[in-house]
Amino acid sequence: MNFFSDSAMEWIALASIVYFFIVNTIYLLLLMASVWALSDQVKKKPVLNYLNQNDSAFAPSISILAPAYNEQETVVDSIKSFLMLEYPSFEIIAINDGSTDETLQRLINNFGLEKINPIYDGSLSETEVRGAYQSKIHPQLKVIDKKNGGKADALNVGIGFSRYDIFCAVDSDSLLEKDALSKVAAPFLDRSTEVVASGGTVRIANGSRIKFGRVDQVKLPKNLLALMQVIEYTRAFLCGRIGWNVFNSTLVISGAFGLFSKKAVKAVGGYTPRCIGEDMELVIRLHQYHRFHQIPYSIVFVPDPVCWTEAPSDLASLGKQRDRWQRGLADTLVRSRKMFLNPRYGFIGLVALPYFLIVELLGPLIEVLAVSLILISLVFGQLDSKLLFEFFVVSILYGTILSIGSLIIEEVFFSKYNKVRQFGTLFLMGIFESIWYRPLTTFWRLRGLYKYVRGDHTWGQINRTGFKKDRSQNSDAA
Amino acid sequence: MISNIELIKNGMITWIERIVFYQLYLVAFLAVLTIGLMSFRKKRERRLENLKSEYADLFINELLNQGDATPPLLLKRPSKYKWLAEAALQETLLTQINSLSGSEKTYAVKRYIELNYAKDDIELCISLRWWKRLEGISHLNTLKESSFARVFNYMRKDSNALISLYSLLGLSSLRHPFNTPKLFDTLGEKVHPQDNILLEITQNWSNLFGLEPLVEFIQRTPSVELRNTFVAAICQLKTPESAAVIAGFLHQTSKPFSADLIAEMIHSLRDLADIDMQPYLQHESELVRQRALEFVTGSFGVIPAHLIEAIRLDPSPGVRRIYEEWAERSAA
Repeated sequence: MNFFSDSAMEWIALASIVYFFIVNTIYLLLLMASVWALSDQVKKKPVLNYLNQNDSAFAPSISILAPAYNEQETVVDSIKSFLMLEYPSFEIIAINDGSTDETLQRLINNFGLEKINPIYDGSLSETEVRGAYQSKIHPQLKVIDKKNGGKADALNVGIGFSRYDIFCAVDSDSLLEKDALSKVAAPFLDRSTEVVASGGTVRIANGSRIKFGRVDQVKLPKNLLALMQVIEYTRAFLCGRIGWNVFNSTLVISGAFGLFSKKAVKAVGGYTPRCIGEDMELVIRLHQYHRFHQIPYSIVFVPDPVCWTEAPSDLASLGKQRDRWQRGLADTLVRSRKMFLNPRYGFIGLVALPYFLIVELLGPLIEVLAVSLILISLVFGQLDSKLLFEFFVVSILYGTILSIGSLIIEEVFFSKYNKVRQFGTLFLMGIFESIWYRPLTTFWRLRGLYKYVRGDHTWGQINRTGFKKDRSQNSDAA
Repeated sequence: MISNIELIKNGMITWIERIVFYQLYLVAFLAVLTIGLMSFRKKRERRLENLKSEYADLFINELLNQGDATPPLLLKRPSKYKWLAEAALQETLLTQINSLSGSEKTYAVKRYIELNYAKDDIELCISLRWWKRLEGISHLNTLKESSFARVFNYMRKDSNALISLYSLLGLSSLRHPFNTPKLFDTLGEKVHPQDNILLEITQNWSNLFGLEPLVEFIQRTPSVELRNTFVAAICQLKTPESAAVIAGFLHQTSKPFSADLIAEMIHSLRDLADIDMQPYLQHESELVRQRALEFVTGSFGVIPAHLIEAIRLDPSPGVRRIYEEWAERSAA
């Protein structure tokens, strides 16, 4: 007995193969675009590095905004890493978003905070500010204590307190490399267009040695889930984002590390409160505003500056994070629906947004449907098992080529994981990624999509264990 | 035994198996390539570090032997084919120039010019690629030598705003006939409000010519944005002279400034500035009212009596908070 008619089966098989090849070809094109873009950047790198290291004249002053909600385990290390940034002119504004743990108290104890009464611009947020503090030890550090209103609202409050024209949104569970700010600010030096935002690469700090608020020695995590995320992040940042950047279609500047022009963000009304994917949503609104008003602009992804973050290392936390990301993506795409296939928005409206809709948002649904139908057909003997196996091998190898391509980009241009052993581990894990990790994330993404349709817009809490510190530092601290 | 390639040629392997076959070869090739690149990069980095350290030692030896009658010139420019050594020597000299001061810096600059690196930089300045021109001009700017004033003067007309500004920055620090107050006019639209460069150029020029030519320029420029940008730069100078200039601008009502800038201007005033704050205490901008009240209560400790009631009932919580604190202090 046939479950599907033969012609229906043919259509399903054909559709699955076409979808598979289109998606993977897009990935491959993005990878090639990344290589092209990076080789172009390599030419400009020496002079920009020289300017960053030796001349502060062109470095714009920056306000670093670090919202924190129940980040007691990581907030102190993160602020220390921000304080040690090598940059001529910056201030740090940590925003305690109504934490119920000891986040604020730890900040007060560690940085010698005292209460101040600064003047601020409350036009982007009306949430009650409970107090403002300034560090006696590091005068460039301010802490704002406010009622809980979500990350977007905390950032809006931070913008109101910021002094400078450019602000850098970072997560309080992140560590910045000492020259990260100089590198991420480099696009603001290019005067050919008005840069309204730039973002850098986020990498996984799990397993690495942290010393004095900085990643002192880059190591791979021992936890398998975190290890898989190293490959995933490498591919996403060094392949996908650089590729989109070539077409001025960067849709995501990571909330963990992004630089924005305050004027541009204020022009679009700041971050949208209670929005789950506030980072992507803001970037899309910036695109929308500038393209609608035909104002020349650029939003740039710079792969070199690095922000280290602690990745979830248990299934429950990772699942929560991924389903939140998926809900954020759905929310953002729904909000920007007017831009879809609208020629006024150029490449973004015609290509980037439809790609995000079909591949990133609906991809899990399509994949699960295709796999289910194929399995049913296999059970009813309508598919050749040998052919299916071969197709499975092709898809795994395709994924492996993309992963290894990203690892080569990483090695040639950045060389963070510079030991052959590290490369070997990542290489092997890249082969197995498609077998178990990808299906797992597909399930979480599908769950996120389902929850979004059901109207679940909650943020969710992720377990953090804190950064692994160097022993000597611990004993010094003791 | 028949190889895979022969099987493909004979059509005995299906197209999907061919893909698998080529993919496997590609993966293996990429893996070997990456490992090869890793090893090459490590060797190159080690070599570069060693070269830089050797050149730094030679430079220090040269410096120490300066007192001798015929000091030995230990640093010699490598052959142009040894590009790594060339780059290492130039980088070492630039590092020394940036880190040293006084006669030691002068010596490092002299050696940089003698070894023809400055000549190379000038050649870079005529490159078609903007980043090459920027590299050339930024290196010359590091040297701070009057002999390059002509190059700066030429390069300030560059179509790339960054290169043009860099040339102006270089020129602004030199005592040279090319460096005149007329250069304010050339800054024009190239200036970006986010730049610290404007502050540096303004500082250089105010050191050489005082603030008068800049004030005169601000008075006559029709561009509101440019006026705001320059006034903001003066605010950052934070000198008695700049406070007096700001006070002068606050007295003027004919030239409107943005509310944010007025707030910044009031914030940059010093206690010595004698200015009527009444219009600013009644300004429509909350931020300006706050800054004005902060200035009045902080500098003079007195609020004009006829304004107290209005300030006490100000719609801005920030203004009311400053007032309440002042009232508490006064009562105590």
